[in-house]
Amino acid sequence: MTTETDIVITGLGIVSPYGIGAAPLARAVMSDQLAQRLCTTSGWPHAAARTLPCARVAESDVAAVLDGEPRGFLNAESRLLLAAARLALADARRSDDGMQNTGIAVSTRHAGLQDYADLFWTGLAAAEEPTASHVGRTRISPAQGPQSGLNAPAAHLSIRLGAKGPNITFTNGAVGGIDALAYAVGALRSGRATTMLVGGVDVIPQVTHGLPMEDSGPDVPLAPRPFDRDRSGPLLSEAGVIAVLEQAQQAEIRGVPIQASVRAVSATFAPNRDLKRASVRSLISALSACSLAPHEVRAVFAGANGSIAGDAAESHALHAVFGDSTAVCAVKGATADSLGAAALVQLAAAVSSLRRRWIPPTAGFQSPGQDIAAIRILTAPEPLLPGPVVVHAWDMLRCSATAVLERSSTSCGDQSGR
Amino acid sequence: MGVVTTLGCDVETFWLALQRGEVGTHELEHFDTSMLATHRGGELTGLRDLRDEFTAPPLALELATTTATSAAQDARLAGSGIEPDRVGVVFGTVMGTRPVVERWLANPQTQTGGDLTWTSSAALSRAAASRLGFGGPNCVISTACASGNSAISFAADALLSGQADAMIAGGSDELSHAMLMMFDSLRALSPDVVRPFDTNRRGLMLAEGAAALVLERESDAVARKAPIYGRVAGWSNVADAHHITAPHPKGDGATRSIRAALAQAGASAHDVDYVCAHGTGTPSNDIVEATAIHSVFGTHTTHTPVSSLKGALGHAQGAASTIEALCCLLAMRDGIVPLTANCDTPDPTCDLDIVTRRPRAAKLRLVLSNAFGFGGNVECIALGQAP
Repeated sequence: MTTETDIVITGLGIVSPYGIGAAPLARAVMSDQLAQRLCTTSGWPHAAARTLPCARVAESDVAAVLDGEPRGFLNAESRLLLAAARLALADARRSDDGMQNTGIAVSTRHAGLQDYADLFWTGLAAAEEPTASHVGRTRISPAQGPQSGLNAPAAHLSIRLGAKGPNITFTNGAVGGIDALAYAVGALRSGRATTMLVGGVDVIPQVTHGLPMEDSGPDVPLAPRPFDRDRSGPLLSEAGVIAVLEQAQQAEIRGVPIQASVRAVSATFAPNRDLKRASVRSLISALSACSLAPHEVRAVFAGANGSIAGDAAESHALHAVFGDSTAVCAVKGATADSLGAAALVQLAAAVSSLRRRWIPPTAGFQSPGQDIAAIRILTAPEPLLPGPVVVHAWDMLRCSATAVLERSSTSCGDQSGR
Repeated sequence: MGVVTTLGCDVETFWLALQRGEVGTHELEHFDTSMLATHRGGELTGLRDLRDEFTAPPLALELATTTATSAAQDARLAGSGIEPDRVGVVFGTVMGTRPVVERWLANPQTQTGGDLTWTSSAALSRAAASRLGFGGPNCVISTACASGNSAISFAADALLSGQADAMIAGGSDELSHAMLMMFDSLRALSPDVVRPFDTNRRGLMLAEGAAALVLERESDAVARKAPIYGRVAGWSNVADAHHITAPHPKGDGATRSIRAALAQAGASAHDVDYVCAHGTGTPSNDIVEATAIHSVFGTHTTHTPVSSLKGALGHAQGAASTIEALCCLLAMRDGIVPLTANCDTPDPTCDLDIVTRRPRAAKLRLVLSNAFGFGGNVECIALGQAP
């Protein structure tokens, strides 16, 4: 039984460092692997070459998905997001027809930053040449400039798919994916769209190679170790993710399998730097919105990424809400931190768990740090009982966001942020 | 309301300058434009003169915090009894804090002196909320140059869904070398002034600035006796889905967005007393916008005054439509349609009632504010008179 307000996920598409689709990522997460594609990248002309361990998407994977796609200038993020969308639409059994009322909500932190830096660098380099003039018109491709905006991936996606519904980009750090999810739920409920593509995408820009991640230790981490006593900071990764959302009734009419229902979403901010308190507020708010008691939650897909202060704050928030018996897994131990895409990678792992009925372990976690609260962090896969799961995301700019998902389609209830 | 523009850093100064027909675009002083074809823009020169460009936070971040603080003060949020955790902040932007990388690239030694959070444009809303102590929904969004209106509609949705009891909605963007070069490459910049809807229009001019509005449910505002400037009556975010830089030639997205915003407001085109146009001054934008207005307004088009602020301000990117929404509220408050600076010979092809040369007195009950962006982002909003 579904109602008009049931919002469900009917398709998922992912291109990650583990390859094409949700299955390779799910296998990696479930098998307790650390991120396997640790790569060394070169620096950029502005500085001496630096190396940065990170988990990168293989361009050959993107090219394979986009084989046959019309040519056109798309930057790295736009290509990656388009590839994820193609996979998601196929998963949801959707063609490009009838996209008139389809909307797009995308999360990214850095989309277009490298293109922006390239624009500036072109001018800087030209300034060294005594005869250079009209640099903008002679050295810059008119096709490149528009790639430098934060909205470029979502815009390109709408153009490629003919998606004429709402189109918005969230640049809200690691919580942006859940913000995009909330926006999509609102758009579907209000009737502004009949289908929403919720996306997350980030590619590591070379221009940021010299910058350490927020809340890292003195050494660059070779692997993320969420909640672990030896964690020394997050490790960057890349990913493109798209989830197809629609009303449950529409999905049933189309005869497409429902992968999960979105029961509630909530987001908060900690103006006083108290990430624990903000996280508690977003968790409780989301649970209240769908009338759930904490003990009814079967698993928490935590946002922990190996950050020193962030993981500790999240552990205390989870302890305050769920105590020490609810299963907690932090998939960034395997997937690393894909920034604007991260929350949707977590969501994809949660949906996969709901389908497979197994909760993944936390890769890289062996024993908790002394600053980690008493929560039940899984070190091995565990069966997932029927019931809701929570995806919790946070970032070092002190936002917290929570989504509640369930395998069966049930009414979403009020999504107030109270 | 709070605003920082080249025509003033407080609401009333800005509004008076706009009515006087002042123009805030000029020769750029803080950017080396010697290798570009255009050397002018809407630069906050005075503010930049006071900054240490090597160590100061990104200007867009400072503008967001300043305007959000002004808006919160104007709305008397402090001590109002509203729970701070129920107040959210949302800012729209095109480039956010991105221009900070220019300083790091040009002067690598400054890279270690900055705050790493500056690389995240999310800092715009986070810094403002931190300053004000607000813990509600906190977002930075981008729909390119429609971002300011999108922030307003996001805030309205957050209030309607009960996620917050008050929202600060703003837009903020700063000038940058990269953006100047990008628009130069597109041959979209006017060499002298911006002439929206003018027969001799030659392009847009980039600008910087910010504005912020406090939104709350009308019943809450009445109950706490807050100043009410107007109502957000309707809004619509759609995509042209046509081209990354060019608008749909028939104004498809704009037409759909205007219609949907008016429908949400429970109004028809005949109810609209003023259109605050996107009006960038580029040949393509203005004719397409006129086409969309004609599509929706039909024979009523010639009875509806239209103006564009971009002749006076240039194009403040993600801040533009928030500044324009603020202007619409002031226009309704004072019964004055602002003029379109530099529009001396209205383009007959556009066939609109462009308000030129001097402001026009009019009873304004419902106004429409259009915003379009690269990538085909469109967000039009309808604003109603205060009760």
